[in-house]
Amino acid sequence: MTLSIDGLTLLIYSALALTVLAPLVLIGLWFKDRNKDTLW
Amino acid sequence: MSSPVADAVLAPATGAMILAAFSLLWVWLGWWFGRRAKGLDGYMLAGRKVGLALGTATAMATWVTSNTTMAAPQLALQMGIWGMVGYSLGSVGLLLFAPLARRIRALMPGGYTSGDFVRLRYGKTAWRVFLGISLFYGLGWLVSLGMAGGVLIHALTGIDYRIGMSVILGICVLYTLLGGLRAVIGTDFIQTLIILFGLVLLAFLVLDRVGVADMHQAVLAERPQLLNLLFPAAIMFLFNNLLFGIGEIFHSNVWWSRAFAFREGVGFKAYALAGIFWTPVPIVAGFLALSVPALGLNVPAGDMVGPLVAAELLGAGGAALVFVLVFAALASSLDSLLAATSDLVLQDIYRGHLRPRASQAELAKAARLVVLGLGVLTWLLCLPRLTTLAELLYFTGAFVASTIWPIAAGLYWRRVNPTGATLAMLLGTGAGLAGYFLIGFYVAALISAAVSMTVLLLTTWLAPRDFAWRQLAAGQEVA
Repeated sequence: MTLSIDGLTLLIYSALALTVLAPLVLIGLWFKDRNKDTLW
Repeated sequence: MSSPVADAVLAPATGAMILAAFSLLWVWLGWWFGRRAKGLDGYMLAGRKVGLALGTATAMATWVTSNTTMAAPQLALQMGIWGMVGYSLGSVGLLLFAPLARRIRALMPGGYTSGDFVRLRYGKTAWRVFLGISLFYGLGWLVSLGMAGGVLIHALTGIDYRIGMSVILGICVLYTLLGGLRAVIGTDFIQTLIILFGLVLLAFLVLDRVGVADMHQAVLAERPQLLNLLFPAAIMFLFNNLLFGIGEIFHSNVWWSRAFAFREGVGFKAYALAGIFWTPVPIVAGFLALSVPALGLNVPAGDMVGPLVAAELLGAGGAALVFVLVFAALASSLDSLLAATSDLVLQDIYRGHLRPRASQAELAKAARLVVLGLGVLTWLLCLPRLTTLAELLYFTGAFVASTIWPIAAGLYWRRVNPTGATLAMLLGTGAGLAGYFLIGFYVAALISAAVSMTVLLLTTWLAPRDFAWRQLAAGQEVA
């Protein structure tokens, strides 16, 4: 049973989308939280 | 004449410049983040006020090790799709720890270590067995990371193993010493962003240059087994990796100390988000390897796939990018492990066994000495570059998987008894080790977790005991 080209495309692009989203969410959360985070 | 491997390796002078620049950056940031740390709580647990952004980033960065960035492409090249998907299931440990983190913070708002919980929940015998397992694992992981640092710096820049290993270890010890957990968590945030942006850049370059269609076609023509969804060895790897990861996270003070350090209400969300965002990382790092047939690259060493692909697409800039990325991945795990293992030694060995009446001031001073001592011990163990030590981590699978059920059941199930928990850890470890030597590394965690669960269920059924949860909050200050 072989992974099709569509399956591979879906796997790679969904992983990539989540990886692009991660730093944006982290920066957004930090911005929202910046006055409460005692580290800064 | 240039070769692909030579192109993937930076000139030692360039490597040394990048190493020096980032070393200065991490030490300065560590000092800056830690400059307001007050008292023992401030140093060990960042004042117990870490917010969601920093909490999520530190959990992610710690779990993204040099292995995630370097071994994921290697696994994709050896085991194909299941290799990288199996690796990405390491995130299940983070996701499952999310409710545990909330429970830990609620039951022990003033706790310091995972050892505190085991001592208060199960008594001193179980505590000592647990400490043996946890310290063995912690030191094993520290040594393997220190050695990986030296080996990778050498492979990527040609800088001597001993110098590379000493620099990465020395830098992490220095900034952890200066700022404690605040320094670790603050630098983890920056390191997470570097790792994620670097991976995304590499992935886009591969997709732009090769594309999924060409990649699929070349893999299918040259290595069709990599796209096989019924690859037995890869499926076994997947399950063992899953249990190993859960065992590592459930018991290790790296994750418990963060549960104590996060602000109230943050633990669940931080671990759940970290799990979700960590899942794609091994896939994004791993799929780079699938471009190897289409790019026509000759890969002499599996763990050099990432640097080779980067150098092919970006030249020397690609090699530099991979080096910075790997340096960030190494430092973010090494500092966390150093801080958390030091906490365990300080709270459970120094305070728990040697100086029960030590004042907060004495403990704060001892905390820094423990970080330094642990750093020196790790450096000494890394110095001979014993390759067998690198395999120590596989070996520890038998140990850590035996703690999954005593920890999880101990947090939620009143009736589990201390003898059952101790036996579950001892017999689970024994059976896991037997599996490791008689069958193979890929069953050690699986057998250990199965035996530990059976023993725990059986002993609880035979001799149930009532436990008052309030004992956890009441006893956490007293060692």
